[in-house]
Amino acid sequence: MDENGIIANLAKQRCNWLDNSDSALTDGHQLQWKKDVMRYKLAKLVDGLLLLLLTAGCDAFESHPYSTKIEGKRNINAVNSERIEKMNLTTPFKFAFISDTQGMLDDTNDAMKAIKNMTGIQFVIHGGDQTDFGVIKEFMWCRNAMERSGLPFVAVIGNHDCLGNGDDVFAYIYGPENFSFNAGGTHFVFLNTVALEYDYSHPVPDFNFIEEDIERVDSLNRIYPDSITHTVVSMHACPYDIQFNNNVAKPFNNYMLMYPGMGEDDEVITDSAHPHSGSRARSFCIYGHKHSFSIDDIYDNGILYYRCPDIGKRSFFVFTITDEGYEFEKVDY
Amino acid sequence: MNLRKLITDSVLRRRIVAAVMTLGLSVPCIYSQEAAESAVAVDTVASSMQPAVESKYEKRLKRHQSWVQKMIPDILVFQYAGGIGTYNLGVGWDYGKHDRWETHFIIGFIPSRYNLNHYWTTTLRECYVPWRVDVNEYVRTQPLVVQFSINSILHGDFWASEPDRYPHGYYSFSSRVRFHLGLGQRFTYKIPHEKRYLSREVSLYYEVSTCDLYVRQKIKNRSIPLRDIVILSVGAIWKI
Repeated sequence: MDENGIIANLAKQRCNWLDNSDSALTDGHQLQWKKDVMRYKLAKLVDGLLLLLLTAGCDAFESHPYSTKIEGKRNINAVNSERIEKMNLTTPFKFAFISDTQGMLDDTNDAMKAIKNMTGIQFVIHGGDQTDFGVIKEFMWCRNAMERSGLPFVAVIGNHDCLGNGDDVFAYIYGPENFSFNAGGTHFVFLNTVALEYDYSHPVPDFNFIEEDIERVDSLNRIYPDSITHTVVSMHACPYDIQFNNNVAKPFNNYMLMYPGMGEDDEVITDSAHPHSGSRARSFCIYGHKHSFSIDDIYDNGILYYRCPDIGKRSFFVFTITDEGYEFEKVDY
Repeated sequence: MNLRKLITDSVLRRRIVAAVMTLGLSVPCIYSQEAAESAVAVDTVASSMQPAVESKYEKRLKRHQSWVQKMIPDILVFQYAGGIGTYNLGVGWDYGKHDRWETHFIIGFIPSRYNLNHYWTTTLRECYVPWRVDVNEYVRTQPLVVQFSINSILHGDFWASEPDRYPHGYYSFSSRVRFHLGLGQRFTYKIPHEKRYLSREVSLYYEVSTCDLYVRQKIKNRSIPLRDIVILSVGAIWKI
């Protein structure tokens, strides 16, 4: 019986009382009528609760927002790095960069759809801050949204991702926080730069990793000359941000100069009409964190730092790596 | 005045009882049986010697004793899951008309999983039980229970307000303190007098709840399915 039917039935009963009683509707009848309707509504509420209980299933027996069951793919940075390397990309190829999704899932979904519909994008980089509070489910929501595009993706860790036990969750779902891979003659480096979150308990940025990474690229270039000519460094917070360990901002730059295409004697954009004439032609850095768009030459040495706005601003970056250099495009969707 | 007389002195004995109570050493049985009996015994002896009118001190003492007695928990609660811990054990107090209101203080434990630590939690919970329906002499249901909990996860990774290293207002939330709102139902078995051992009634309950962070994200994003923000729990309550 539907809702109207039941209410109608109750109304009929009310009429019966009216017929049987000599006088008009008494207070007692009114009360009974109200009680019946209340009981019916209560029963409906209980049905609703039980239905929720059934549909939610056993996984909803959650211990704590910061310690729930983690489902789905994990070790994503390691797995997808390998996947991208195996694609054997050749120049020119495109990749997309999104950042600071911070619980804005609807916008992230739209962005991933837009990226999927653009032709030629090979993989996606997330610039950190997937979550607002470092809660496990936020990590899973963001990961699932990015997975729906079907493209391989990797992520750097952001300051919000470190909140609570978020850094451990990131390590479980994404694997390494510092990692690199080569694709189409380009060396992609991903660094944890949110030093403020670790309060000196953890090396951020990790120069041991950077040194070993540079050594790996150099040895590759020694064996196969000019196999790696470009470098793209992704991070969440840029040098001289409050999150960065600014005591080492200059040594950080010195290390960056050692990457292919970043050095003082590497090729620069000579075209004087180009807005960034004089900057490195092949290599650059990308970051997020500050929620606004900007292109800066932070060290005034030709290495450009592209700052991606948060996903709520409805835009993302697309870079095309070519033989001679790269092309930059800011896509608003 | 010798020591024996000192101890048998009625006022002093009461004072000892009061001191023990205040120190929190009292257990319900000690207080309710021995202390009450001794107080009665003292009263009967005292009444023959002293005027029948209660002194201001005695009235104050009675008030104090009844207050202490009210502070003794009369609820024991166990809950599995529910966003406040995996295994939760707590005590509580019921009060108000028909004992409609309950306050629980719960300690929870979350075992280590994946690469995460194990955690201890504490929870302060307020329950409102608007109706109770007697099915028969022994079985009773509470068709609706509204629960509001404030949960705190006890670990150095979580803070109530951001540590000093951040600029003021850098993160405008607390990772340690969570607020939960839940609806549930209880099924109560009223234990017959002759079978009572630990409690007079035992209830099983379930609860459907959600927490502040989930609600916030759900409001911001329509694409999050409702079942993702629903937290379930089951539990038992013993009332003495």
